Amino acid sequence: MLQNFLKNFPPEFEKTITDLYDTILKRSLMRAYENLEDEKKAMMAKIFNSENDTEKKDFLENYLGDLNDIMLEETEKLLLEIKK
Amino acid sequence: MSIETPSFENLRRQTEEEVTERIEKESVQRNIQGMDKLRRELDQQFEEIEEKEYKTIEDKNEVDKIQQQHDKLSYLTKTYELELKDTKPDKPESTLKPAPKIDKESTQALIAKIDNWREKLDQEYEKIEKKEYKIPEDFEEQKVIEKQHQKLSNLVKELEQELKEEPKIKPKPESPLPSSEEEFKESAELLKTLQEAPRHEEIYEPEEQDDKESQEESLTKDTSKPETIEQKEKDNEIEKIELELKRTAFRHGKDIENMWHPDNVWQHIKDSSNIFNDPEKQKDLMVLRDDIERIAEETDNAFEKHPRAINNAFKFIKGQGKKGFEKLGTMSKKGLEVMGKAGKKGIESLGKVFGILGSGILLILILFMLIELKAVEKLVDAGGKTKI
Repeated sequence: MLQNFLKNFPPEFEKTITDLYDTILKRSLMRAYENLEDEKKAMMAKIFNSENDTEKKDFLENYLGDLNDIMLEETEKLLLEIKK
Repeated sequence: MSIETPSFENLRRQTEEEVTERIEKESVQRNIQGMDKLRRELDQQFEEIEEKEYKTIEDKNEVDKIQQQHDKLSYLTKTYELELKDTKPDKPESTLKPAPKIDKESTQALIAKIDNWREKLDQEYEKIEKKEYKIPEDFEEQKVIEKQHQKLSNLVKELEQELKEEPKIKPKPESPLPSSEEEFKESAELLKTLQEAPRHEEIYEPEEQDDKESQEESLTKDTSKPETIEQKEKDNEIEKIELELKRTAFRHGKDIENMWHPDNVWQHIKDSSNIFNDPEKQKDLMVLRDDIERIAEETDNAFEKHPRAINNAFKFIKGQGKKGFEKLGTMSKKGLEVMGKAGKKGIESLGKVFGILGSGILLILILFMLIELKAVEKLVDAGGKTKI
């Protein structure tokens, strides 16, 4: 049995939920990118401007493996910002 | 020389008496009208009261009491009316014969009494209006819950008895065998929770391996051993939450055996927090929405200044995570069950459980938002303390 969790929110709030996810992901990606060496940054530009999804996946796994942790940290930061 | 004659004097006296009598009659009639009006109001109020379904014995007693007072009042009003009829002059008003005098004092005393009763009645009505009437569903619900509670208690007692009689009996695979007498109580508590578990499995099969794993992970992570008193308090809290969940399930016609079903959990969140109905909370929600929108805009501006590759990575992750994102939208029962049972610490691990491309982060955010709005804190805390 499935439960459409998002639909339980008022429609005017659904965009906010998407915004939340996008904000966290964007902030995390920016941070992760800044942590990369120049060589990896160039590699990332090359891979993510191509159409090769396998390479993209590999890059994420190999060089942005800590993105998950970054996202959790960004989540905490965002919550603190919201609290203010 | 006097122009008055004895007959004129007599006529004048009689006229005066007649006028006095008329005034008195009018006054009495006004009183009767007033009482009639009061009685009609009372009748109307009684009708309103009768329309309501009083369920408690106290309510019934109260109604009976009011009814008795109403009867008394009606009786007195009628008596009073009869008394007035009796005092009416037998002859037409046009005759000059003086009518017998009405006992003003007794009438006033009667009116005072009625007023006194009316005041009392008014007070009682106020009391009644202030009361929260229990609807029949509440009583039915209470009965069902009590029945189930009794059933569960009996089961636990039976299991405890079995354990006492056969301490070496092998439990179900999920249930660890108590290694010592000290752990006996803990095992009994575990059995109490386990006896609900098969019902979940019978009705709701796990949909995805991930969910099962996440549940197992939650289990393995829960290694804390609280003190006995703390445990007791926690147990009481869990019991309370579970009862509330069952009540919610009952109210909404859901299966009360599966109180952790997402439909029910979500309904409980909505009911208990009133998050989408309470104007104050709506206000908070809108403030939160505005804050998030502002932050999102700032982030967008910063993001645009970065190389296109990052934007492509973002799109790729979102695209890859679409499945996970949709999964959030159609979150499995197990997902919400885990969320409810995870507790704050457990929630943090959800991101890992669902994977980086999944929807764990968003789940965490939503849940934290709801916690911020005091919507689910109790539920999550209790969920964190509940052994699956």
